[in-house]
Amino acid sequence: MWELINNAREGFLSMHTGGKYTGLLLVILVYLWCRKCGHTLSGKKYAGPEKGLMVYTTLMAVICSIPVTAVLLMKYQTAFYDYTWVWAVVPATIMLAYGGTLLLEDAMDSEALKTTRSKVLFAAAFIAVFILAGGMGGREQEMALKKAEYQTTERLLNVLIQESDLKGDDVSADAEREAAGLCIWGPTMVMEYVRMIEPDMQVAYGRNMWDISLNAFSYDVYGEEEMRLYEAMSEAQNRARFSDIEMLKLAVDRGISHVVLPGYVLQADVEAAADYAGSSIRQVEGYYVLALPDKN
Amino acid sequence: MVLLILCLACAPVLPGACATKILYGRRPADTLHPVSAYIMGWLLCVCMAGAANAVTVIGGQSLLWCTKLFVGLLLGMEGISAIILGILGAVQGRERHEAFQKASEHRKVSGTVRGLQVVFMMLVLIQIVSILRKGYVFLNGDMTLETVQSFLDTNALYEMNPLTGQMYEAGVPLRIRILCLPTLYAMLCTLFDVSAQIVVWTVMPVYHLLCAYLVYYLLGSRLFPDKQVQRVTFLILAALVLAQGTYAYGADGLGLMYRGFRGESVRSVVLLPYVIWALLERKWFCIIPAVMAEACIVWTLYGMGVSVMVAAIFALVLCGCAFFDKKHGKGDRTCGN
Repeated sequence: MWELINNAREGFLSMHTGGKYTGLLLVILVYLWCRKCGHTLSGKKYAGPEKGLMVYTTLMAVICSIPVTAVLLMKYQTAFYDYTWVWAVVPATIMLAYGGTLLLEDAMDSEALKTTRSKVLFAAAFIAVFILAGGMGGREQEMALKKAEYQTTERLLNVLIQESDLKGDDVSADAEREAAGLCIWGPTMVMEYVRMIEPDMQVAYGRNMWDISLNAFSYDVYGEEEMRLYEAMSEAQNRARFSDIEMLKLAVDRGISHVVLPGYVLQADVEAAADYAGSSIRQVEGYYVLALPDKN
Repeated sequence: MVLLILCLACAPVLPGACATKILYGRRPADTLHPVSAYIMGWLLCVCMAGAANAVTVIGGQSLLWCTKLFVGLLLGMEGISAIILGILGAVQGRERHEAFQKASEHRKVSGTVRGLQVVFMMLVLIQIVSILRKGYVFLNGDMTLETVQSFLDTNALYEMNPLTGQMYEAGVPLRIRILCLPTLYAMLCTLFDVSAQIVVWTVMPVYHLLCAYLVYYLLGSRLFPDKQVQRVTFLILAALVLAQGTYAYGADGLGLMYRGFRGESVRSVVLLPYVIWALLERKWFCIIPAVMAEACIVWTLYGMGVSVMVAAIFALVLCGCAFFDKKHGKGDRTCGN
C-alpha cells in the first residue's frame, strides 16, 4: 500500500518535469470557475461554461492529485498501471481546448484588445503558451536515435540471414528456417529488434528481462541461466568487457547460434571468446559477430 | 493496403447508422450526428473482434479460424444492419432526410472559419505524416508488434512467447488473452496481406488519430453548437495539446502520437471523449458499446473499465448539478448553461 502511495506521490512530481499541461489545466479550471461566477476579462456576461464538465474535471483532478485518493483509482485500475494512468479519468485535453477557446473568446471581446493587430498578437502569444507548455519535441530526438539504432540492427540481421541461407526463394524456406534455428544472444537493442521483424528467429531472453512491466503479460519467468547470460551481456554493453567467457559454453548448451557483441568491447576479450568457442569473429555494422558451434 | 484502408473506413458505417437509428431514431434529425454513428459502428466492430477472439481463445482454435469467425460475424452484422436500415429508411427516411438537409442549409461558413479549418487540417496532416515517417514507437511496457508477429508465425494465439520466439511453458493469463487488439491486427494482416509492422505501427495509429478527431469534432459541436469559429478553435487547441503533450508516459499525446495502436491510447483519445460526449448529450446507450469495447481492448477490473467509472461519476455530477439548479430555480437541460 505504501509503495502505491509513494508511486502516486512521485508520479505526480514526474508529470511536471517534461511539460506543464497539468499546471495549465489548473489555470484553465480557475478561469472557468471565475467565468462561471461572472468574472471575465472583457466584463461581459457569457452563458456559463458546461457546468457538469467543469465540476467533474475539478473533482477528478483533485482526486488524482491527492496520493491517498489516487491510490484508490490505481486499485480500481487493477493496480498494475502506473500512477500517470489514473489521470485518464481527467479529460485534460478536452478541458484545455475548451477552456482555452473560452478564454480566447473572452480576451478578443475585451476593451484592452481593440485593434486587429493587438488581437492577432494576443492570439499568437496564447497559442505559443499552449505549445511551450508541452514537451517541445524532446521525444522526437529520443525516437530518432532509436530508429537509427534499429536501422543498423536491421542491416546486421540481414547479413546474418543471408549468411544462413535463410532467405531462399524455394518453397521449403519456412522449413529451412525452423531447421536452421537461428538464435541470437546480443545487446538489448539487437534482441528486441530481432523479435519485431523476424518472428522465425529466437533470442536467448526477451525484452521483459530489462522492461519488467512486460512480465505481467505472462506466467513464464526466467531461470538463473538466462539471468547469467543477461548479466554477462550487460557487462559488455555497459563496461565494454566480456570477461566471463565461460558463458559461451552455457550459450552453446542453450542452442544459441550467434553471439553479437557491441563494437566497443575490448579487442582482447573478443579474441579470447573466439578462441574459447573455436570460431572466427568478424565485424558487421559496428558489432562483433561470433557464430557458435552446434550443440551436438 | 488500399483494401485495408477502405475496409477500415467503410466497415463501421452500416452498423453505426443502424444502431443509431434504432436507439435514437425518434430524436430530431439534426441531433443524429453521422460522426457519432460512425464511432459507434467502429466500437461495435471492435466488440465483434473481441467476441471472435474470446471464442477462439477459450476454444483453443487457430488464428485462421478466428479470422473466418470474425469475417462471418462482421458480414452478418453488416447484412442485418443493411436490412434494418432498409426497413427503417422506407418508413421514416424521406422526412428525416429533408429535415437534416434543411438544418444543414442554415449553416453558412465564413472566411475566418474556412481559414481556421485549413489550419486545423494542416495540423492533422502534420501529425499523420509524423506518424508515417517515424518508423518507431514508444515501446516501454508494450509488445503488441511481437505478439502479432508470433500469431502470424504460428497461426495460433498465445502459444509462442513473442519476446523470445520459444514456446510458452506456463502460458499467458486469461485476462490478457481475452484482449482482442493483437488478434484484430493479426486478422487484418492475414486478410489484407499487409505486414504486421505497417498495420500496428502505421495504419492503426493513423486510423485511431482520425477517430480521435472525429470524437473531438463531436465534442466541439456539443460545446459550441452555434459558434463555428469557437468550434474550430477548440479543435485546433485540442490538436496542439495532443501534438505537444507527448512528454509524460500515459499522456493523451504520447498515446496518440507514439503508440496509437495500444488499447490504453484508444481509450484515452477515443473512448473516454466519446463517453463524455454521450453523457453531455444524454445519449446513455452510446456509453454501452464504449464500455464493452474497453473491456475488449484494455485490461480492466473484471470488465469494469475507466469508461464505466467516468460514466458513473459524471452522471452523478450531472444529477447533482441538475438538482442544484432546480433548487435555485435555474434548471435546464445542460445543467447550468
